[in-house]
Amino acid sequence: MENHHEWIIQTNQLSRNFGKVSAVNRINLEVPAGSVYGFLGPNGAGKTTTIRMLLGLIHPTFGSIKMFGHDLEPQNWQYLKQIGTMVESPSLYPNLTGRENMEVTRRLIGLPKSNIDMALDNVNMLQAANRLVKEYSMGMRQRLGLALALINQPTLLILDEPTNGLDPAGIQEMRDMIRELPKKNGVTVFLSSHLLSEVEQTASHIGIIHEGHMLFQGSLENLRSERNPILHLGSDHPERAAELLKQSGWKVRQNGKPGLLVEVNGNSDVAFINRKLNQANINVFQLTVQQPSLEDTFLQLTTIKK
Amino acid sequence: MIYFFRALSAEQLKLKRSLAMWMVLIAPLAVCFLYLMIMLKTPESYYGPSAWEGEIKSILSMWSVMMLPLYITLETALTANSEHNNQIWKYLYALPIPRWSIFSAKWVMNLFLVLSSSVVCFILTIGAGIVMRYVFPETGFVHNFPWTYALTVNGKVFLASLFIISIHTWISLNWKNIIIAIGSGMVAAVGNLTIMMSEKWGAIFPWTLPFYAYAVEDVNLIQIYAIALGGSLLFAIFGSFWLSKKQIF
Repeated sequence: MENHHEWIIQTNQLSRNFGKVSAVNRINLEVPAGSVYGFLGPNGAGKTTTIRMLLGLIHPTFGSIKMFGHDLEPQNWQYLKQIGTMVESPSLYPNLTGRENMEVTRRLIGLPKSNIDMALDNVNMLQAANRLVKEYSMGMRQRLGLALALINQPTLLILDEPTNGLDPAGIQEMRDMIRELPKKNGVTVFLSSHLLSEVEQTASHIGIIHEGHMLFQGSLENLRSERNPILHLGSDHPERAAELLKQSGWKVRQNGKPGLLVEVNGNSDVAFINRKLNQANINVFQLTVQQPSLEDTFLQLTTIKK
Repeated sequence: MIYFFRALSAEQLKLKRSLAMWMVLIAPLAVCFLYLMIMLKTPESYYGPSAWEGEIKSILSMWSVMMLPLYITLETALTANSEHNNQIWKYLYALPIPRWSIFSAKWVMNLFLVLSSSVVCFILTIGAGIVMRYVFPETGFVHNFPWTYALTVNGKVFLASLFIISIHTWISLNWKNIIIAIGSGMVAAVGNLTIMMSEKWGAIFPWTLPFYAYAVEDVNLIQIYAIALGGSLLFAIFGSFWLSKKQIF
């Protein structure tokens, strides 16, 4: 169990409404120092709204935020000195070169010139730094956005969907860079994504948000241990079978094929289900129990716990 | 104060290769070139000793009544749009700098752009007169250039335009939609043509102040400068406060 002083980000009942719509609802984030925290959720789950509140871009409707162990006060921007950020797409001036974009930020914050080369080197952009940004590919823009986030040598990096718009090679490259950051620079990374594979391959800790609610928070190991096995069930009347099992309280999903996915606790559950379906004159031709992938867990959390 | 100078230095870099920078030359060039064409067609109007004064006044009329309000609208919209279009606000507001420094640097940079174009207009006015001197040596352009008069009237126009700069800096930074920035400037420029006919309203309407400052006789100059400078400063403070409180969705 982590010590409370080790939370880089800690929120208490953090909420944000837009009119009558609750975008973020009483979430308690706990981001450990030195972790890569994957903030996972489908589009519209409340990830960007949460990040905007953490950065002071919008105000919470309710709740509080602690950053680096200190309460976040409105108009207090000093805490941002320790944060590097890329929210959604990178914010770049296309009429300037990569290096000039870095220089704009360097001048604004008042950093030494050497920070530019250091940050560009971190994302392998030294070679292309003198080209105009409007000539950059999407991958180069994302990397420059990451360099901008690293220019002040932050202790916390907040990245919102950093692989958006990248091709598979670019995604892999971005993942590798993010994974290396805590080891190389001692940075804590708070990373939002709707891509399970990205989070699974990058993060050491995970938070799952859906429709503004926090569904899970903890380490990847915790998440794996919490997952129930999945029964792949094939029958001649899948609709009837699904209805019958749901009525009996089982968590059932359809996987697009004739088969059903049922959350079970063990083999005794499988035998019970088989018996129950047979008694209802439903013929069962497949019963396979598998440990669920992260994707199964995510679907369990977002579609069933809803 | 260090934050303001840092932000100003960043603003200066952002202008590199930008259309806003080119407009500093293009807007006064358009006015002065057009007026040179008129002078070349009707050189007989400039035979007297006051040819320079006539030219200066005519160019300033075109500049202050029509081009300057539109130019301010366009420049402020362009400098603000480099932030809006490239989704820079969320990044800027997440930087460890006070938000007022961003607005104040943008405001001062807009003042600088308008001042620069006024200087270019002044230089091109001299250039157009020199062209007339060589093409039509019989015109009054052979006389000495009236430096004191020219500097005074140009200075008046610039000072009286400060209020418009503050208003448009705020409008263009506050609304992402460029139609609002450009549309408000066009409506004001058209209103300018009507309101300038009224002595009562012309001397207090921000967009007519540049014209009233140098072209209308018996006008209360102190009142004009009080409105232009006071209004500009108050609006700049208001804009800075407003944008500092703004949430970035």
